[in-house]
Amino acid sequence: MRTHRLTAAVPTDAELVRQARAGRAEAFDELIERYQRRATSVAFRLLGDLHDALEVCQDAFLRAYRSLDTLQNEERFGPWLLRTVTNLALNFRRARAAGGRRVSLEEFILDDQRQRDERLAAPAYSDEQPGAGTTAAELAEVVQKALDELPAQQRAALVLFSIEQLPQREVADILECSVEAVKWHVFQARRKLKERLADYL
Amino acid sequence: MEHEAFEQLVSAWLDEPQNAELAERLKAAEAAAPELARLRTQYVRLHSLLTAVSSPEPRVDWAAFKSHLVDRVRQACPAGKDTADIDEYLRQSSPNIEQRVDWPAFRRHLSRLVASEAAKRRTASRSARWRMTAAAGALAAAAGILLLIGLPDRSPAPSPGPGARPVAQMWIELPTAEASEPEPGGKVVLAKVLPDTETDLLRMMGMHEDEPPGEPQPENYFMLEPMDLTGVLASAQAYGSR
Repeated sequence: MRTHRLTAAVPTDAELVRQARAGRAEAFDELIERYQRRATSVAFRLLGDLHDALEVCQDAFLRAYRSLDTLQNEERFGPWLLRTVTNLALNFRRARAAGGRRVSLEEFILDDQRQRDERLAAPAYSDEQPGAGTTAAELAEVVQKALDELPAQQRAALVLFSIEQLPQREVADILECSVEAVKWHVFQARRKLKERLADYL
Repeated sequence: MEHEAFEQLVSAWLDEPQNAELAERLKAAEAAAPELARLRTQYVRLHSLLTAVSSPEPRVDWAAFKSHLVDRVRQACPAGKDTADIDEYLRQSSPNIEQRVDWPAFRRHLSRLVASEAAKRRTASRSARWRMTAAAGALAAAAGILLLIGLPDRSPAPSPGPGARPVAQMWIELPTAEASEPEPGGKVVLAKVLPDTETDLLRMMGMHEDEPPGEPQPENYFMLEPMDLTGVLASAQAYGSR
């Protein structure tokens, strides 16, 4: 007797986009499930603040949903969303500098202050290494400050490529520039960071 | 090799760590100028630092990932063990947003927002259809009014007598029920009486006692002939059913 094993095929992004366009809300929920972490992570690296990152992530999903019909290549939903996140995050920085409005998303952040303090107070380096005595909190702050001081394109290229580890072609697509330009931005960003973080390297 | 050129080479190699040609060129440059090795170490540490501060997944097999990182860093960096230790410390010190966010709750929040957006779009779509219908009706009415007011002088008016005001007329003839009959069964007449220049001039000047001052306006009339419409309607119905 032959047995058949039924396997549930995981829908591709393109299938989910088409279903969402056809009005199936659960399909877009699945896209949120797939991309919310990465989108928030990119926004966090570009903004350095988890509240702001969640807000940008939320705006990006809403915009994506509103303009889903304009997405020509459905399989490219991820890079398309991350492009929106990147642009929103860069604009958000400008708005924040100008004293823009903030929406509270505090309820989605789990860690209490005590846990956070304990985690951040942990030493970042052993005694024998450069930067010994630096706490994780200090190090995170220093790294984020150094990232913040980079020009927008260099920061975005470094975050997307070196930190989020997206392929260079996708980064180029997101930043709407050539792959060579991405390499150049990443190189320039690394040089500047190496100078600014010299005490910790 | 100049420092900047070497740094660019290191950056290219960090972009493609599997590229054997780049690795060979680095090794050759470092052999020629040993101080460059220190430069590469700094870049490798920076790269590890940046990678470590990204948000790690909680369900990752950390032990295996650590082993992988240690191997990679040892291959890449002459400093070896020290760099691996730095990576480990940095990784532990990362601002771990993964554990700080209630992802299911955040997802539900986003889903609710999207559902609300969808509802708004449906309402906007219905409202747009209603507005289009209303606009089409209003346009039809406006066209009718324009036709009436802007009625051109298409019919030869009878030669006016002294003091008579010029009249423009257009009529629509409705045939009788029998198509063979040549005579129309009825007539709808639109008549436009042009302003009496002399009277209206006086009216404009406020010198006409009976009428209030104002712009001379043409007068429009809508007439049905004959007055008894029964036959006309019957013939129109018969005409329409053909």
